[in-house]
Parts: sequence; structure tokens; C-alpha cells
Amino acid sequence: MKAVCFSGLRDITVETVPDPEIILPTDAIVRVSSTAICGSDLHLYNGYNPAMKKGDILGHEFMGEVVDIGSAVKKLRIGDRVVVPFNIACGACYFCERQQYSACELSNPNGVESAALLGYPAGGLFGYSHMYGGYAGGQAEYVRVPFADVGPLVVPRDVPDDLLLFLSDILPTGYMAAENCDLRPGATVAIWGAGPVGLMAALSAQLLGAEQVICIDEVPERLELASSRCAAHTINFAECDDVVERIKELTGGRGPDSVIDAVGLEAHGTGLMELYDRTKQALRLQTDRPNALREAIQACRPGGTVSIPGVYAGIIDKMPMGVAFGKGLTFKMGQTHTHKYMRTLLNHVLKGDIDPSFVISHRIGLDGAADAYQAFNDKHDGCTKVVMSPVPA
Amino acid sequence: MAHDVQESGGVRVVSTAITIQRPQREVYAQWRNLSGLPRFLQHVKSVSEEGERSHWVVDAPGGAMEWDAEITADVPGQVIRWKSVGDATVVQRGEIRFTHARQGRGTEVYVTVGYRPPGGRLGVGVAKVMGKGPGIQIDTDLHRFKQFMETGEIATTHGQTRGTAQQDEWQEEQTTADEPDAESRNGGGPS
Ligand SMILES: NC(=O)c1ccc[n+]([C@@H]2O[C@H](COP(=O)([O-])OP(=O)(O)OC[C@H]3O[C@@H](n4cnc5c(N)ncnc54)[C@H](O)[C@@H]3O)[C@@H](O)[C@H]2O)c1
Ligand SMILES: [Zn+2]
Ligand SMILES: [Zn+2]
Repeated sequence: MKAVCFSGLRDITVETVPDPEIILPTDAIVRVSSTAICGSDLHLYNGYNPAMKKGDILGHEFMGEVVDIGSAVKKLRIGDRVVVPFNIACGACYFCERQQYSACELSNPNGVESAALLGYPAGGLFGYSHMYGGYAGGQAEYVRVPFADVGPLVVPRDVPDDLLLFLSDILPTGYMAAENCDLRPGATVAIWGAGPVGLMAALSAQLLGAEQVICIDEVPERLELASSRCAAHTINFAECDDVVERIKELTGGRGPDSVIDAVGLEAHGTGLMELYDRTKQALRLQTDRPNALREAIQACRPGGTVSIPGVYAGIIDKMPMGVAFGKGLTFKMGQTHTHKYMRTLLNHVLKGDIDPSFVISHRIGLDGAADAYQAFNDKHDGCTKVVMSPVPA
Repeated sequence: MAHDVQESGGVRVVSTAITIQRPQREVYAQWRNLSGLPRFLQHVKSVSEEGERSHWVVDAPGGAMEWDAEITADVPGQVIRWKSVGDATVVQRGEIRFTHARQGRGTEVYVTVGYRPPGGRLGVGVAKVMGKGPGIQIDTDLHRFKQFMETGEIATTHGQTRGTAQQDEWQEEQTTADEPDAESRNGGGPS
């Protein structure tokens, strides 16, 4: 089969590799109909994860058809059409029982090694380095799906892939980010990052009762989507000399009830702080660039909530902790417990409450993966979200 | 994570703990079936039991290592203690204790292993067997045991498909153009 492989820093290759096979009796094999590139894949592309090995198959957002199942699979059947969550969860452990699926203790074969480095055992993920289990990913024609009765969500046949694919990651991620805001009806939310995750968070915030949504980014076409598709007020930070003040002006001088950082560790900035962060990162004194997070903390109203779906991996500097403490902010963050939200969100999609497909800007076959990674990384060519179809329709 | 401390007489002691979401008796019984242990203990090839004694064969580069061990205490559901017989062996003594975990969380398992880090060729072999050190190896084996007890299988990617480029180790150096701190080897973060 064809598969998209990591071959080093900003080096993506499409290779012919052996088809995956059932390894454990609880596995299934899925033939992929659609798979997307995620902002998280860019952290791998840009070399922020040292636990990648050349030859690793990428991808954690995918859906398709079950073509084989192991002898212990009970619920899933060959022929089922499924969306697969990006986290691999065992369904049985302490955390899975509490629906904290991304903290699954048992799905990562390298759990102990990851704990030696991180201080906790990381759950398994598709296509996301050996730290998270080294599982082959879904940017391929076929994928092996472990714990097949736990993750895959069976979806109706008559609904197009475009409406369903994002149940695998960005829609639940945006939704959990909004849920973490503890929104009251009529609330105001400001969202840093109008990438796929920020846009899904904007839609979800409205679904959960927010009345005013403010999106901050510098990429014009993304801001345009935020305003036309998510009814958000937008701020282009590259053209605004004080984002925090601008947000306060829009919220009666007080600041939003909740703020969402949908940017994460590769945030862009301006001015002295940006220079400071880039220099520190280059000198290895700081691993992540937290511009968006700093602004979010400064903008949030006293007693408000800071929700962080954007990924952080290491150490950050110059955190306005005094401001956070003084305002009595609540912080909620982390990797999405995707399994917990998929069914609810499927129902919203089927009822027509949410249509996440507007983020798709590029549709290609697997062969175009290298160029697509570059365009998505550089935010060139209007690239907001890339969907790849391994089998031409 | 395991502690590894120097004791007197050239013996080091590793201790660690894990919680397993199954009843105490069941966890004890699975472990007490010594001949079934190679399923969980990555480098143990076989364990055969003859009364209070057991014979252990462990995979090591340059040939198998073998020794005999003797159970010195066995309280069903609670504790098993053993020591090795003869003094040429690396693993000297061990204890596995099972206690009730609060809030219905199953069983807490406490493991202590005393070992003598050997010198010379054997030492190199053992260091390799132990990979990243005995502490991590014991934690890995217990994690495998926990996986089996809670889910009935041991998660693996062994034998899965991958691209042609070969790389044995995780990257030693950050490769990002921005060169973040080596400390962000904690992961590039998830999805
Ligand atoms: N928590 C989870 O489980 C989870 C799941 C999916 C993605 N993520 C993470 O969410 C983040 C966003 O993902 P994405 O797919 O939308 O990525 P993306 O790269 O497409 O979007 C990030 C956006 O942030 C903008 N941005 C950069 N600096 C900014 C700043 N200072 N202020 C405001 N905007 C800024 C960029 O222009 C870009 O549009 C990533 O860190 C990704 O890893 C987390
Ligand atoms: Zn689990
Ligand atoms: Zn993702």
C-alpha cells in the first residue's frame, strides 16, 4: 500500500510499504477513505518531537471501512464504515473508566519509557512518535486499529466523508476546548488561532451558548472563515498594536469570560517579546513560544477560564503568573478525550447543528502529501485544511 | 518510577509500585503461577517450578543465564518472597507485596529486588539485557503485567508495517530549525 512517511526534518515521503496485518486479536484493519493533516502533524514536521523515527507512518485523523477484524473483536464488523479517534484507548483502565481517554495507562507499549521522560505514562496515539506508542498512522491506504471495540465510531453510509472525518480530532478538540470554558448563556469567548482547531472551537462555543466570539489570527483567509462561517468578530494581530486592549474594548473594558489558546507552542508574535522567545528557544533555554497564551491570560476577565487545546510540550518562560493569580483564573487544558465526544458530535452533525466541512481548502491523493505539508505549514495558497483520499473516488 | 539505591555489601535494591485494577487474590494468583511469568518479563525465557525451588533461564547477549531461586515466604493474596540459591547470580532476592487499594481501585503491588551488579563480560551482558537499567526494566515488566491483567492483552506494535528508512533509536538531537531545548524531548506534544 501507499503511506505517508516521516523521513526527517520537513521531509515527507510517500512510499510503498507492506499492508498492515492483524497483530493482536482485538485489532481491526481499516481501509482509509479520507485522512487529514493536522496542526499537530506540523509539530512533528518541524522537528519538535525527538521520538520520531525515520520511516514512521504519519497521520491520526482518518476514517474508512473495516476490512478485517481480529478474533476477539465483538462489536465491530467487516464492512462497517467508521471514524477512528486519534487517541488509542484500552477502554478498561482507571482513566478510560472515567472517560479520560487521552490519559489511558495501557495503550502505549512504550508507556514506561515515556514516563521516564515525562513523569507520567502517555497514552497511545496514531502516527505520533514512539513517545506515544510508535503506532503506524492513518495517512495511508490501510491502518491497523488496536482496541477496535473501543475507539472506532460506526457512522451512516449516506453521509459524505467531509461531514464526518473531523469527528476523529479537530471537532471534538474544539468542542472540549469550548466545554472547558464553562460557558454561561450569553458569554463572551476570545479564541487565539483561527486554524481548524480554533474554528471548531468557535462553532462549538456558539453551540454551547456563547453570544460573542472573538477570533485572533494573522492569516486573512482564516479570519474570513471565522467571520463568515462562525459569526465571529476578528482581530488580525499583525495589524493591531495591542491585541489585549482591543479585546477589552470589544468587551466593555472588562475582558472575555473565557479565553481559548488554539495556537500552542509554535505561536508567532511581534516585537521584543517575539525576539526574546525566539532567542531563548534557539539557545535552548525555553522549548515553547507562549505568545498566544500570555495574551490570553492578560485579556481574560477576573474569575474567568483559560482553556488550552493548543499543544505545549516543554518549558515556557515569562508566564504572567501574578496576573493569573490576581485575577483568580481557572486553567483547563490537555489532549482531547475524543471518544467521549464523538457520538454527541455525530448527532449534532446529523441534525445539521454543525457542518465542519467548510475548513477544507485542499483535496488531494496521498501522492501530493509533501507539497501539502509545506503549504499547510507555511499557510500558503489559502491552505486551511488538507484532506487526502487514498483511493480516488 | 522505580528507585535504585546502593545497599551494603555491593548489593543494589530496586523498589517500585503499581496499581492494578483487579482483585488482590486474582493478581496474586496470576503472579504465583511462576511458569507463566515469561509472558510479562521481557527477558525471562522460562521458569520451571520444582516444589519451593524454581529454575530461571534469562536471555542475555552471548548466551542464556540460568539460576535457581527459592521461595522464602508465601502468604496467598499478600506476599511472595524469594532468594537465589548459590552466589553466582545477579538477582539476589525479591519481594512482591499485594495490598488492597482504596476507593475500589483494585490492588497495589509493591516490588523490591536486590541485585548484585556484576563486573566483567557478564556485567556488560546484563547491562544490555537490562537496557536502560534494571529499574526501567522492572517497571516495563510490571506495566506489561498490568496490561494483561486489565485488558487481557499486552499492547504492541511489534511486526507492524513501516517505511523503508531504518532508524533504531529515537533521535538523539533535536532537529528543528528553531532548536528548542533538549528538554522538549518530552515530546512535541500530542495531537
Ligand atoms: N488538544 C488536542 O488534543 C489537540 C488536537 C488537535 C490539535 N491540537 C493543537 O491545536 C493547535 C492548533 O491546531 P490547528 O490544526 O488549528 O493548527 P494550525 O497551525 O493550522 O493553526 C494555528 C493558527 O494559529 C495562528 N497563530 C500563530 N500565532 C498566533 C498568535 N500569536 N496569536 C493568534 N494566532 C496565532 C496561526 O496563524 C494559525 O492560523 C496546535 O498546537 C495543535 O497541535 C491539539
Ligand atoms: Zn485505558
Ligand atoms: Zn490532530
